[in-house]
Amino acid sequence: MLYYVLYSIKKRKIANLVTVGISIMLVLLLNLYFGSIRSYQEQLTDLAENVPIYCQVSNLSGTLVNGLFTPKRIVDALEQSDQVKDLSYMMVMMAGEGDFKEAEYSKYLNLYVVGANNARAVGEVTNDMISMEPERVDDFFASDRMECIVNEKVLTKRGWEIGDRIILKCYYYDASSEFQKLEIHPMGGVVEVEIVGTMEDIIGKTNAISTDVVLPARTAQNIFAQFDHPFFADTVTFYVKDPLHLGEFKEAMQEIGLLEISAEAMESYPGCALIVRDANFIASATDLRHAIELMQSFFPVVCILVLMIGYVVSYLSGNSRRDEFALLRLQGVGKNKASLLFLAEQMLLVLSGNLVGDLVMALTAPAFITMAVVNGVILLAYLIGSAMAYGRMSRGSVVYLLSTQH
Amino acid sequence: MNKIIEAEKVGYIYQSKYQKTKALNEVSCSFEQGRVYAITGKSGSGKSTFLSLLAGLDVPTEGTLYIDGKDIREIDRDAYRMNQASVIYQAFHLFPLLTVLENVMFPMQLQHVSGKEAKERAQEYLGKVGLPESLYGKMPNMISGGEQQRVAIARAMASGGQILLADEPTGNLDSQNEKVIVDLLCKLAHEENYAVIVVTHNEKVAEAADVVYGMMDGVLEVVRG
Repeated sequence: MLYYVLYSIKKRKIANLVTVGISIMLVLLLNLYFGSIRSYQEQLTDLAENVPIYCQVSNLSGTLVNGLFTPKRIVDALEQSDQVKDLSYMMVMMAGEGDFKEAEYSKYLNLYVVGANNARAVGEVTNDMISMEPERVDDFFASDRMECIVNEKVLTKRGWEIGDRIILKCYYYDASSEFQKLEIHPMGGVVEVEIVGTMEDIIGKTNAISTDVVLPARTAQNIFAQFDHPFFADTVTFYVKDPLHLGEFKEAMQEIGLLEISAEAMESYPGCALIVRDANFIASATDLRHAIELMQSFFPVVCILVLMIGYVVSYLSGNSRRDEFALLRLQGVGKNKASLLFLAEQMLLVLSGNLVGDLVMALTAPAFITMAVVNGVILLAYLIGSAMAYGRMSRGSVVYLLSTQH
Repeated sequence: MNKIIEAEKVGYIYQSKYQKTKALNEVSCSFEQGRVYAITGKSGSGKSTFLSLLAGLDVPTEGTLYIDGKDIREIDRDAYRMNQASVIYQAFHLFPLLTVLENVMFPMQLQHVSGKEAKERAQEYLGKVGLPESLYGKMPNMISGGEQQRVAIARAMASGGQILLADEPTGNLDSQNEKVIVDLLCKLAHEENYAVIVVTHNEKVAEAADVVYGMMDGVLEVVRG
């Protein structure tokens, strides 16, 4: 019977071309439909990378994002949180070279010292601004060694060299007085650190204050601990790890103790609130989610439409061949076999259309999973449509079909 | 003579949603090979219904129809039409997309006869019905009604059966072609040993038959034979 199917396909050129053309059109349209949904979903997934949500710890009124006193408890919690990525923080100290008398602090206290957990935290410095091999820079900031990087201008001015060990008498800032004014207090001793690298002077390159000496964050924390003073971070910034679950992130931040900004709050120094720069992300994500929901809401309609096209094309094709069906029956071809014959022919044509459509898609926008889904949907729709159409035809009486032959 | 078909009190009722119509009423008769039978009667008398039962396109609602001694309800009626009985109609019913030769080859291809043999035999049958070779490659709509009916008879012969059923085979033909077809049917019965059963209200066709049945309101009676 394969002979008859192939023969019939060969003879019925125009009708078959229409069937193939409709299949190609369906493949392209459905690929466009599923491709759009996939594209929106990819955009939504990539949104976290393309529109990252930047966060800054601030005071309660939201007016300060540096020069803060953010307690160690919050910094530690942020470091351990699985909702946070690329955490940057730094703490600020003043220092003077050597073990000078505290009464002479105004003469010697002239080094601006920063403890930072990465280069970016030091006033937007980048790794290439530091005269160390890139992999050593990361190692330096992650360590708790008594090492430092020195501003190259300061290094020259003071006649220091890399490898020198320098003695620093450190002072820390305190905002605990009743007037909420900043005060500076001696740590209570000196520390000795080795110069392991230099950094470019950042004046004019970033908006940050020029830094003289940079210590790893852990080293700075250890200095605070060594002299039994509480450690506070001056600046804390980070990104939301999974922007698509912003609700969970905000709950986690509340648990850590970071509050929402209150415009009515008084000016203060404690870093206890969080500014989340999520407006752009939320707007983009909302637009994409609406677009996906809208497209998905059409899914049942698309399925019904494809099913209807499959049914109508098969029914019309079958209806135009009722005479042929009756003749086959008259020649002794069973009704199931005759129906299968027409169905096989229809499926061959639809498959050919699908293949051409797939080829076009593969050359223009290859997405093989989408193509497989589309082919499956179309074949299923045609199979159901054809089975219904030919099943209906096969229930008719041969005598009636022959008597009504045109 | 071998009774190839035997009807025993065959009845048929058309049942629609609203009414029942008795088309055949206790029809009893038999058909033998080598003879031409004519069933005459007015339109609506039930003769075409009887023919469709003989062709195995339907089964009696009452009584029994035997084919070679077997109840038609119990045999594979598709195989019966493919191998034993062929039907020709007033409207010829040729496959419109197949050529004359391919139409005649078709029943043999259903029987898995090889292409070469089917072609040779088809040419032989077309020769027997007197169709010129120049028409073998033509499409059915390109030849006359008489020629189409001869192709239909050749196709019936190609199935290899010994029963030829004809429903008004000359209804669409002029008198010259009518004679050719009637002669051909008689030749098939008398020389090729077919049982030829013709439903007609054409008197000339009835005159040529060996046995004539008359049908009125679903009841069959012997008119001559």
